[in-house]
Amino acid sequence: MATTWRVILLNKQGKEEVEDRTVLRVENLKKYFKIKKSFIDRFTQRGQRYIHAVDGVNFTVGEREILGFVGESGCGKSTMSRAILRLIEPTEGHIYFDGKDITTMGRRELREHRRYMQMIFQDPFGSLNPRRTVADTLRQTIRIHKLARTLEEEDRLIWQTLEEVELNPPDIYWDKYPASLSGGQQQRVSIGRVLVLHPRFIIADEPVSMLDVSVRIGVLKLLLKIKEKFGISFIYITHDLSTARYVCDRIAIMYLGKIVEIGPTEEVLHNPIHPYTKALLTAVPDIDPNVKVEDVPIKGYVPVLPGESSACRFYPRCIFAFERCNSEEPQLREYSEGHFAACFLENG
Amino acid sequence: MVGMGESILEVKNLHIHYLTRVGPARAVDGIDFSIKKNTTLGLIGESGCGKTTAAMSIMRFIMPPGRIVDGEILFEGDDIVKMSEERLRKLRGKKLTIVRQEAQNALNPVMTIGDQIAEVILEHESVTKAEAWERAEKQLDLVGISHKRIKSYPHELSGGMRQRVMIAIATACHPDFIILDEPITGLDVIVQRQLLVLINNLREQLNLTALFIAHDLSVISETCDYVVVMYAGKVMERADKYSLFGNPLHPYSRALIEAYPSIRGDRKELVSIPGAPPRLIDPPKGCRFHPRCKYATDVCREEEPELREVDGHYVACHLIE
Repeated sequence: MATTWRVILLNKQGKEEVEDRTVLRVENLKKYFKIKKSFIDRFTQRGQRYIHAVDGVNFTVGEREILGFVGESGCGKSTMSRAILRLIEPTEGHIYFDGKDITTMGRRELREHRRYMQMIFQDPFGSLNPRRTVADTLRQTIRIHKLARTLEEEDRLIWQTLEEVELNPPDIYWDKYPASLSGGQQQRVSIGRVLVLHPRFIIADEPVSMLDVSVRIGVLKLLLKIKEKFGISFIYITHDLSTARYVCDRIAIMYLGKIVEIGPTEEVLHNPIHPYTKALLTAVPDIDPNVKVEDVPIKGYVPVLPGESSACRFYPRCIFAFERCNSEEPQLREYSEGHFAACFLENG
Repeated sequence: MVGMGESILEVKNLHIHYLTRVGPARAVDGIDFSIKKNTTLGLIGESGCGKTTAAMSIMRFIMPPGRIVDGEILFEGDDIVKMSEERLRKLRGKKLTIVRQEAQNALNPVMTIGDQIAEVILEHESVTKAEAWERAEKQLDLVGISHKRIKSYPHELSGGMRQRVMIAIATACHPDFIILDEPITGLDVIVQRQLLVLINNLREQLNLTALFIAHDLSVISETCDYVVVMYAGKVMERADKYSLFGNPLHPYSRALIEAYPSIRGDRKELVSIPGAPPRLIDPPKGCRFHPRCKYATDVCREEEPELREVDGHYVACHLIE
């Protein structure tokens, strides 16, 4: 537990709010994938082409902050999260974790830092070993990272962690295999496996989208609880704006590898600026039967291979587009405090 | 279900079991509902509550180890459970059709989409190949895909477009009744909305009666006239959508609505439902929902509640007066 950042917090008790520490800073992050050259390409003069999966993303995540990334499939949100943890190597850009640049770290140094940067995946069953019991799943993590010296210490740590993720009482779940747990319980085990490491920062990639409606809220509440209790910062990746609203402090909307809008959650939902954000918001279905089902203000389809472009990426689908949108790429600019959008329209 | 009109489909006391080594799993355990002409009934429930099994039984697609143990499924007065294979074949795809989840698995990867639409028409109607092909083109236009793409293969289309093709196939022979089993699940939000708009338009244009299955309350709210809430193989509540979403009576319906995060209006405090759905091999005694219900009393633990009419709702709960 006694990592340096925690000591700082304890020394300045009561002043936590004043000290607004940035846990993660991402600068101009890019990840391009090579497109395999086709047979015809070999005979033409065309050079190597790339898919710009993540194309120049900048943001910060503060202490105990949950930043949501919302976008459709293929917008680069998962590629981005993998690049941040260096599970895949970024093409360009820098990632600072607690002030240290992890893009230039060597293997060994990276391994030490990885402990504090963890990930929770979408499919809890797929990310747990089906032949390992709940206790053994956690025990393995404890052993790899040498968190306990004796077997008793291991057991105590497992017990505490299971209590923390609300698998109560722990002895019921201790010897169970993932297959005999419900989706919500499986996801709690994978959260426990991450939590036992006392991470500083967690990327949650669609953590509840495979769960049933009735257990989703329970898992989201657990994430909020461990955020407060252990001072963890999150990146919450989802395609679902309504759960994002429930957990996120800020939301970033991604389209084809770029952030098109970012700001405080309620601000983005109530005063959206970018036409894409607006389209997404109209598309979210509502539980109120009196709401009229409207068509989405958008045209065309998501292009398959986003590559080099000097236009706004949303231009082909935007119903408000004008000439400038096709010749110049808009940059993020601030519309109100902390609320940025990349659009040439005055008020969106 | 209030309101007059002829019902096109009536499900009575339907029981479907899956035989397992440790005994039968009661996937559908005595459900009743009926669907009136030109209305849409929504079936909501969590995964494993039996909603897809119920839908499959209407097409009689229940395969061993599954078995329809008891009950009747009356389609325009005829019992599908007892119908001969031959008659059923004529019905399926013609009057009674289905759009399933994950269209990528439902379409044949080595046939063009035009062939797949024409195939259904040729099977059920005495038309020439050219006529069938022409109608396939019209179907594509109807669902918002350019007929120029008639020679495309499924892998050349996006997920949303494949689902549109599925809808084109399902509506090719002017069906009376269509089952939509999670037709928009797994697609992107914008594509989902576009499909919902398409489905709503088609229902009006083609005078369709539909059974819409979803786990997402909001999707049901946007498409259906009536709603059936299922839990662990049982019907918990049945009402028209305005009374169900405006004034849910059953604690389970109420809990589902309270747990639903909305992006519109003020941010409300969400309440989660404790526990997990029961296993269908040994479901809890009494009311199936009682282990997770915060109002449960002794009678809920012992006696199984019947579906009763209260204020225009049908609800299975001891506590509702």
